[in-house]
Amino acid sequence: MTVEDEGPFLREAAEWIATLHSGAVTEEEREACRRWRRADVRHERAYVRAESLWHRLEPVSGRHRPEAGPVLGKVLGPVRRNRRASLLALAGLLGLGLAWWPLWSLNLTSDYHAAVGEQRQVTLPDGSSLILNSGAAVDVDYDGDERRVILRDGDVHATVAPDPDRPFVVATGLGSARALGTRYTVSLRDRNMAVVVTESSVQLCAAAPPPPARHACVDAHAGQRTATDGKSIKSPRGVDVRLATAWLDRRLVADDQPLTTVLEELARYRSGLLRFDDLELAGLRVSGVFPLDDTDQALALLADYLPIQVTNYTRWLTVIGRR
Amino acid sequence: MGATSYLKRDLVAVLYSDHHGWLLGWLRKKLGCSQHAADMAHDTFVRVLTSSSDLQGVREPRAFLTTIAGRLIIDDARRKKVEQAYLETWMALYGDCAAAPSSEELATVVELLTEVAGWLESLPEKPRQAFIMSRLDGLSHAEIAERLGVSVSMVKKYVAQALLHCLALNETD
Repeated sequence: MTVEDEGPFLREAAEWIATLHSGAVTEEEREACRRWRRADVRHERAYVRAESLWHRLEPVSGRHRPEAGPVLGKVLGPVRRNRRASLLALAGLLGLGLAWWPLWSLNLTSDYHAAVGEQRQVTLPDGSSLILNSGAAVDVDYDGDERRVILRDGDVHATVAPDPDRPFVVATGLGSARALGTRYTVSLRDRNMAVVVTESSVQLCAAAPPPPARHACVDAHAGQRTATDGKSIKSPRGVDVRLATAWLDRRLVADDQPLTTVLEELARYRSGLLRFDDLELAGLRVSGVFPLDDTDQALALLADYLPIQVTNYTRWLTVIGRR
Repeated sequence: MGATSYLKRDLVAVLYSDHHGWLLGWLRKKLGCSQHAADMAHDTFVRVLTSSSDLQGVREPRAFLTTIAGRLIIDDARRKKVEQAYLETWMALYGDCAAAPSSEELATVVELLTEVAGWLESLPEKPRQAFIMSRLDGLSHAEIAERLGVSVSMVKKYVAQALLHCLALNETD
């Protein structure tokens, strides 16, 4: 910082720049601005700094203007709105069927996260362990009376070290799944939190059951699956646990599912964009086992027996359409 | 000048030998990828070396390093997001058959947009919109006033507020 610091005058300089670019600047205002700049060397410095920043933005107002606005809109999103919802709304406006995830915004600030396409094993201080699926993110809070794992997004498989005094909980915004000693998987997608129990049992409680019910909890036992949207809870039903947690073996198992659901799932394992039109692909259904280690191969398998075409434009963009 | 930078290099060398290993571990835990962590640790020390902060005044070197590294992680994440949004927008605007932008051109515009997004992120909606409409779209204050439903003098305040905000953040970079 020098003695002749222009800092205090930056606000006035910014106001002058705004005035000059108002689209209705008068000659009197231009002259007043020139007088202000001449009045003090710090005014001039402040003005030059503000003006040079304004000019640095020339490329995004000139030739890259058509892309710049939508990009900023997507990256910044409307303030205080669900960011993902707004991204999808924007994609809708552009007439695109998009399957991608703003993973970076969600996950880099969490304690542990698995990169896209990777699976990650984490051992917790009490000896419990977690396996995070591609793109999953968790925070771990062991400071209180219970052992809490907060799942932000994706799938986590927990193998819990028994400790009767300190329950083990996997919590999301939609509910919490509590166990004493067990193995279970919690998945968070949009407005759905699902629990699949591999061993022993788990109590799932909804985060916000509608009144008058103050608590909404169910117990799910080994071999069962249950889920909550935050309000109500589905009754536990028997599932093939190996199939329901096939991602642990790096496989995706589809049993007569819509192709678009399978593509959305595959997109979670790819770092580039996977683009398709929901309407165009509606009606196509898939059964099969697909490798998650190599989603290009999975897409090739799909193209082998469905009337679809897979086109790679760059490593960032793959488009699926009807053949 | 020469003496100052010599001293600074020494201070950075001490920081490096005392804390590089620890920072690498911290980043590895944060990022879950050792290659990426090594890159980020490297970038962190480059940033320390080229920054104008007074290293002798640093009392908590690890907090100092993790603050810089944390900011780099956020910048990096934002850059990836901008890059993806850019390509997606390009495809939507120019279709599947247009030639993709050259990697150099892409890098330049992504860099600039990443910086701008970083500035505008912490601004309230209306000043942000007013600034984008004025600077990027070249709309007059009267047109912006109509779109935002505010007075013309308010638009001027918004644009100036946004510009000042960008200037302040530009300085701390």
